[in-house]
Amino acid sequence: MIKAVINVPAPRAAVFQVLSDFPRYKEWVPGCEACSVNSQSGSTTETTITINSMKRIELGLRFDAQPDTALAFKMIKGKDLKAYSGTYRLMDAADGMGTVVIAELEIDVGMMAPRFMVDKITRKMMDDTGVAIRAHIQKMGIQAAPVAKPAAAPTRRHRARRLLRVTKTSAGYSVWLMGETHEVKSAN
Amino acid sequence: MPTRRSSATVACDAGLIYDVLTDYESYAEWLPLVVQSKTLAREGDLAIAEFELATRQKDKFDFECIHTRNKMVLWRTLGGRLPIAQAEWTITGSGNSCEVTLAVTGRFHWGQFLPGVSGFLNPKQCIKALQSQLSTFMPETSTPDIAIRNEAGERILELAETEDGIICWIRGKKYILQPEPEARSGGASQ
Repeated sequence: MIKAVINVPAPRAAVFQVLSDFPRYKEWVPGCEACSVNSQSGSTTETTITINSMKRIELGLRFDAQPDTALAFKMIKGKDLKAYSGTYRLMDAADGMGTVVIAELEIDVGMMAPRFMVDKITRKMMDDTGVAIRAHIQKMGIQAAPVAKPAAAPTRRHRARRLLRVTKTSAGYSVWLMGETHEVKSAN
Repeated sequence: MPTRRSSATVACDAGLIYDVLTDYESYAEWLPLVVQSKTLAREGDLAIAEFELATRQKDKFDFECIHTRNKMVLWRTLGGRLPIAQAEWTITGSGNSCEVTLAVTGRFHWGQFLPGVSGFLNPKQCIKALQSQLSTFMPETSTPDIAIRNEAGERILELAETEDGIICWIRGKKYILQPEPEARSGGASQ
């Protein structure tokens, strides 16, 4: 499973809308030539997607959506790959100005290529997807809007903190500074 | 996958350790090799944090951080060329004596041969650094009495940062320092 973090400067709902607008995948998903919806039931959508990358492949993909939160996908039909699955999980950016997408993708090509090579290609695909979704959202004119931040958890900033301590001892001085102690001996 | 671990007993409450470990804005202060760190996203017990290392390429690594309040902080690597799959901080004990353990599980990656990256999250060094960081915090008291007890020798000078300002003790006399107005608003005085 290859994982990546994609920062998208757009509200979470807008990013989810782009990710779940399957017929428009060909406009931005790298290598996507076509994507058609075969059926839809509740939060599950079955699609057929054609990707022309290293090789032209056609996949049946099932998407399971949790609105504005996550989108999972899994190969249900296809001859070229042994397995293809992953998720997009969406979180509000901590700075309140966009969305953090945690992308996970697992590709199993069987005996066609060694694992490290598949992982390298998968990683590049995810990087390209990150660049593509940012460009697509920019093209659509969607901009990040500040979202209300949840109350911050209590942090050490609220705790008293020792910075410096100088103690005179029989041997000289002991200087404690930010967790480290330095002994200073008297010259005489 | 090999797991390396290190533990130490620290004289503080589990809440303090947990607060330090989940304060992703402050890791550059104490975690070896980290020059910058920040929270990318946080929801409930889950956070996404980014660490920038002191390597020539200024490598950045993202972690998925799962928290169990006052008990455990688990980091899972998200992408990148880090030869680490996960790092798990566990806190056991109660009252003012806790044991903190760091278990780092590796994974094969070419990054393990690169200088800098290979030394990141060395459990022994990290535990030692955490102990140093924890030692800067005072016991929780309602009044900011920063006097250090059981200390051999005469205390000449002591500085502490509290909610009331900087507390300064000089030869047993206490002073409270407040930032200047321009410093409060972010400006620097010349």
